[in-house]
Amino acid sequence: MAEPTEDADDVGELADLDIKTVHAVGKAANGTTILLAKSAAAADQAGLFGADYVRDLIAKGADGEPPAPEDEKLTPAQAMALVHAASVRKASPPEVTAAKADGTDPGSPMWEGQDATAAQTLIDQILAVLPGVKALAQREGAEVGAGHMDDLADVCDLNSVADALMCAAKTLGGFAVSEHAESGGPVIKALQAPNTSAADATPTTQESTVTSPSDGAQPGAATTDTAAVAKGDAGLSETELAQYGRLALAKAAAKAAKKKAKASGAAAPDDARLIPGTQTVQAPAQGPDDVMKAQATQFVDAVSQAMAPLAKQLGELAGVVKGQGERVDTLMAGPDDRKSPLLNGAIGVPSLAQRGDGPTATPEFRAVLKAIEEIPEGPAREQAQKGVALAALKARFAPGS
Amino acid sequence: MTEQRFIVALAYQAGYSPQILTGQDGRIDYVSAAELEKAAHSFARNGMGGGAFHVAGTDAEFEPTESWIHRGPDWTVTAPDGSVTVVKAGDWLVGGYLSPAAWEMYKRGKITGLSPQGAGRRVTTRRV
Repeated sequence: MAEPTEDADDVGELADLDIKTVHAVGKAANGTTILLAKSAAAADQAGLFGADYVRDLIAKGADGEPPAPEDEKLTPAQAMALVHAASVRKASPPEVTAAKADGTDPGSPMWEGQDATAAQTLIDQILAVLPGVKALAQREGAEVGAGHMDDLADVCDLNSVADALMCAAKTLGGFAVSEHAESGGPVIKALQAPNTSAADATPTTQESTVTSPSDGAQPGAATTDTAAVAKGDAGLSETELAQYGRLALAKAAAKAAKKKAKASGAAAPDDARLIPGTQTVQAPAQGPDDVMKAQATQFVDAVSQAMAPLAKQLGELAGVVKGQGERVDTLMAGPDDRKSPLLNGAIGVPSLAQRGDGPTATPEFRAVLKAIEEIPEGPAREQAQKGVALAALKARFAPGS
Repeated sequence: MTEQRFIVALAYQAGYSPQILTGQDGRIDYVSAAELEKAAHSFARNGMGGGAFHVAGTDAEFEPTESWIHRGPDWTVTAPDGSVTVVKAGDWLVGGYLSPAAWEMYKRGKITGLSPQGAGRRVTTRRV
């Protein structure tokens, strides 16, 4: 056992432990992780025979003879013959319950095949609707071109519908492929699958990016290095669907860019919507509202950056004010004895100071002070106080006093 | 496919190990093989309760069903996350079932191990 090498104050040995519970935690203090995890149910584990099935195999003889009674002694040759017969029996294919062939058994190959066929039918129907939607978009676009600018929103809406239809077709394509595979149909998947991520991504109306059709790829022209998750021998492959989607979205993006340029009166270049350095065209998802939101966000960011030093300075000032306030509170909490060195003898009331047993402590001087205090406040009283104070000082510091 | 959600993990190892991390109390604690065996037995006597993240009321998230002291030779296990752990004689292991929610957290890497909870006494502090 290795000795502790950590900081001495942090390492200790435990004893007399009384453990109530054991908890599943994110990071165990013992420094280890979960060793085993069983996710599949035992009955689902492929390649394993059930215990009863194995016992049944062993019990059966190769020629159907009943097993020997337990108390009957076997010769080694007989035992070997039984073991051999059991192994021969075990090697024979086990009887399995065949799935229903009428497609009513959920999860059966025929069931999955029906789902794949249904999905393919839906894809065909969606793709059949798509041209009509695009035609409507073109007609609305023509209205916009004729000066009916209020139809621009309709064009955007119809393009969104087309995008959604393509998204649905692509999603259904993936579903159809998986169902077809589960039905036992042939599925071919190439090792290299460029653009697979783009094909798999489900585009939304807000953040979709599509590849320009200028790369020359056309639907149905999949090459050997293209993601070819083929759907058996019929229908569209997922690659074809993805390319259809890219084409449709790219066309929509280019169309929207042109219409926007036309509406603003400026001739935009053909690659105005291309992301620099790529063949990727931005989707026509940035409407006026999105632009306003982006500008508002930029404004807020700029103001936040500009306000940052000021906010820091305000914070420091707030700290100073708070410190001064605490000092005042501390002073106010102290005793008001009027003799504190901080007051330096002052009592807060303007009058002549009373100092010890000097001349100012005589009855005559006190009588003078009392007479002065009876003078109404004003210049005459101040003049009298000054004169008496000067006389008191002279008397206090006069030679021989 | 029905998932079993059954896990096995090291509850604590016997003796000091550099693998031991600082606990929630800010200390690194190790337990001798003899004391760890007694701790495992106390866990069984106390009903082998479970929980998650040492939070009260989470006893349904982990249900321990096995608890034992490893008696055999070194057992090298490659965990599902790829890490290699050598279980040594005297180490305490616990197995049990995670709830569906806890199983999802395990699959997302939010639950990675087991941690005993109880009371004890610190007897020595080694100075090196």
